[in-house]
Amino acid sequence: MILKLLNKKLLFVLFFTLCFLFAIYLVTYALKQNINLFYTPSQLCSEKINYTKSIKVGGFVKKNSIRMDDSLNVFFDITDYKSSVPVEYNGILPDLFEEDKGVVVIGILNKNDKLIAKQVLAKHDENYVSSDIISLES
Amino acid sequence: MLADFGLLFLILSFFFNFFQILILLYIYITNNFSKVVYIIYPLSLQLFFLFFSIIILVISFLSNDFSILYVYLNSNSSLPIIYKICALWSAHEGSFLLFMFIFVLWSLLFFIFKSKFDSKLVTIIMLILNILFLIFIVFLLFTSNPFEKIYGNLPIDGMDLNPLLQDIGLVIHPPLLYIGYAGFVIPFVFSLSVLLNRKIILNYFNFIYPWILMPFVFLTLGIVIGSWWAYYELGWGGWWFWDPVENAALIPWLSSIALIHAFSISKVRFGFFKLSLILSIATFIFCLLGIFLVRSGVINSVHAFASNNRGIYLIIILLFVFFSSIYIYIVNYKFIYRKIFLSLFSKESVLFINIIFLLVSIFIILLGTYYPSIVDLFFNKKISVGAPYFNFTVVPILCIISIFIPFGLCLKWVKNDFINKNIFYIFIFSLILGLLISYYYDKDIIIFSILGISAGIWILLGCSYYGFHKNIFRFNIIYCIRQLCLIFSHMSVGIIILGITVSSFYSIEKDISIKIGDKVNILNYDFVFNKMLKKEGSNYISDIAEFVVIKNNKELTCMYPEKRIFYISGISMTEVSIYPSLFYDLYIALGKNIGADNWSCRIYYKPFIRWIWFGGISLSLCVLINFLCGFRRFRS
Repeated sequence: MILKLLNKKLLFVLFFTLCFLFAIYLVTYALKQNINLFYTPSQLCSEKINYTKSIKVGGFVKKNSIRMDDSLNVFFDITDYKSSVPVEYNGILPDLFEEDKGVVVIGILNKNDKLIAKQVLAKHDENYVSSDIISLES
Repeated sequence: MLADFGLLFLILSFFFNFFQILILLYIYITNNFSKVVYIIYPLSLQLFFLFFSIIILVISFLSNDFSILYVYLNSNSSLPIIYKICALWSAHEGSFLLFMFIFVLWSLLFFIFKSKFDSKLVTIIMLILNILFLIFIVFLLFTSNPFEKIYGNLPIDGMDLNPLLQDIGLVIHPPLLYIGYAGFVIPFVFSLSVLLNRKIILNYFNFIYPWILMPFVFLTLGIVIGSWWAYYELGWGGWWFWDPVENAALIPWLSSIALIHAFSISKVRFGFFKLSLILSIATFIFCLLGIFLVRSGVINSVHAFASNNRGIYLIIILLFVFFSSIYIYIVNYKFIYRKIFLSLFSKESVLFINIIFLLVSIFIILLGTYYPSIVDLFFNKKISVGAPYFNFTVVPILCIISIFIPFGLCLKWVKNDFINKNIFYIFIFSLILGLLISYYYDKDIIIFSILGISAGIWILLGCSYYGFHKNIFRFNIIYCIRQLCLIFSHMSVGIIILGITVSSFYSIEKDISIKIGDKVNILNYDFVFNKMLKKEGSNYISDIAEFVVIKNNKELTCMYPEKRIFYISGISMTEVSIYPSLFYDLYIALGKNIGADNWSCRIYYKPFIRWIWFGGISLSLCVLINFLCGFRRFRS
């Protein structure tokens, strides 16, 4: 009887430790894969960047830098008024994407230091400035 | 002038709250618990004054009183009336006021229907409720007063409501969420008072059970409607973005599911008390996290309001509530322990396993949501966690949970001698069916899609097997309805899983630039761009495109995606056009004008997406009906 009870407890404990380990493994693996580091354009110019990992760059859209073509390719520069990085994007830009307004780009830097964007995010509110950009201003 | 009255009413409500605390303390000290019934008078006065102050804020919005800062920031004289009313909860101050009103409403309702609790417990419950309210109202009055006035030059017109919010979604989504969030205070204070009282009566769990079903219904509806709103308003065709605020609503939702199941074990088996109590505490803490941290600008998100300075107060309140409830739990938990017999093949152990998995998924989502801000706080490094993290970790766990759902339904309480073999055949059958369906959609084998579809089918078939196997017409009509609700609410989860899986793996998306008269093709649908129209609304002007959709050479429908430009803010907004049907949605979002007749636009074909919201709504309806059936018994 005692043995049986012990077995049952052991089974439960074993089951939960296994599940827990599995979950921890999944979580750490997934976290490692999906963390996007945040950079400002000046940091991008000065620091060594991993060219294979996706990064997040925040700043403002440089004035008179937006060019578009018929097949939805968009080229613009993202700047923090010190240095700027060219960005290439294919697709439809968000509604609030405008010159001199805040923007966050997620993408991969290529060998010519051009950012190939996977996603372009603009701020969502007239008053709202992304805290990424606030820290950039200060 | 009006603003002064609003503030006065708020202070009066604060006064009656304080008055109640004094009375309750007096009752508690003198051991004269039968007097607690008189609390109803100050409690209703407190509610009335809060209600009046809300009414005054609404009147100020309607009468364009821009001397009030909150009205100036969130309204404009050309705003349609319905949005003027709803602008009340469009930013921090007003929505916090609304939250407190709903909070008191729940307390009053609980007090009215408290009949089965002894008056000592009711005294403690009301005391804790009032102390919580005291904390909230002090916070509201000192850091986010909605009636703050503008001195000096009065503005002529308001700043206008954020165009993203000018939509029917704003009318229903936030109040539903707040009703849900605030409702979980009842199980929370119940747990704390049971712990403080150090005595548990087995029937307690029966009485408190309806009070966790109701907030769950509202929270579910709120989340479902929010996701539907995001789908058609934000204009990029997704329905869930793993945005921190969405996660902040998802965490209490998952934890409330765990809570409901823990309570159902507790009320049948008279055990697992500690689990039930800790879950009800956790759920409310998660709700506070959802309301406070995220909406106050501490965390960077689409939903965040534009202000940062009150974050620190909110964190203090949160930590206070958290640590005091943990303290109460640790000091008292030994007194409510009750040992029960537990067999591995029983309903309660399967429920328990699923609760554990729910907790694991909550932990994962918490980590992904708050990890960036913790890293930012301690290491001053800016990172963000992308959606793939959540998909990769949460989806497998949800698959495991869904495996257990039909087993949990089919197994009996306490002890089962054997398990019916048919259920295993159904399991294998649904795996094969999942494989076939995913093969039908796409010849490539995607492991997650097979898992998801199989899990959905398994839940649907397994639950209906339970329905056929068990004679649900055994007792009276109420029993039958409740059994059906039980079955259908679990089947809704299967429907949601099917919808999520199929729509996320087999959607087709096309970003294109298109000229008037041109044609685009997706599957067997042809989209012909006919012409451009213009329209003027009360506070915007819009370009409307006309698309004719042709399916197999027959005209199916016309779609009219819009681009609106709002006068006051100058912001442009996409209004998508959706052709809904049971098995697929067609979805067009108009982009920008590039060149003369050339427009960019985004076209989607989304199979099964409607099933997500259909499942969510049917889930909450089933729980609601279950609640109504139980309510009669609960009152008598």
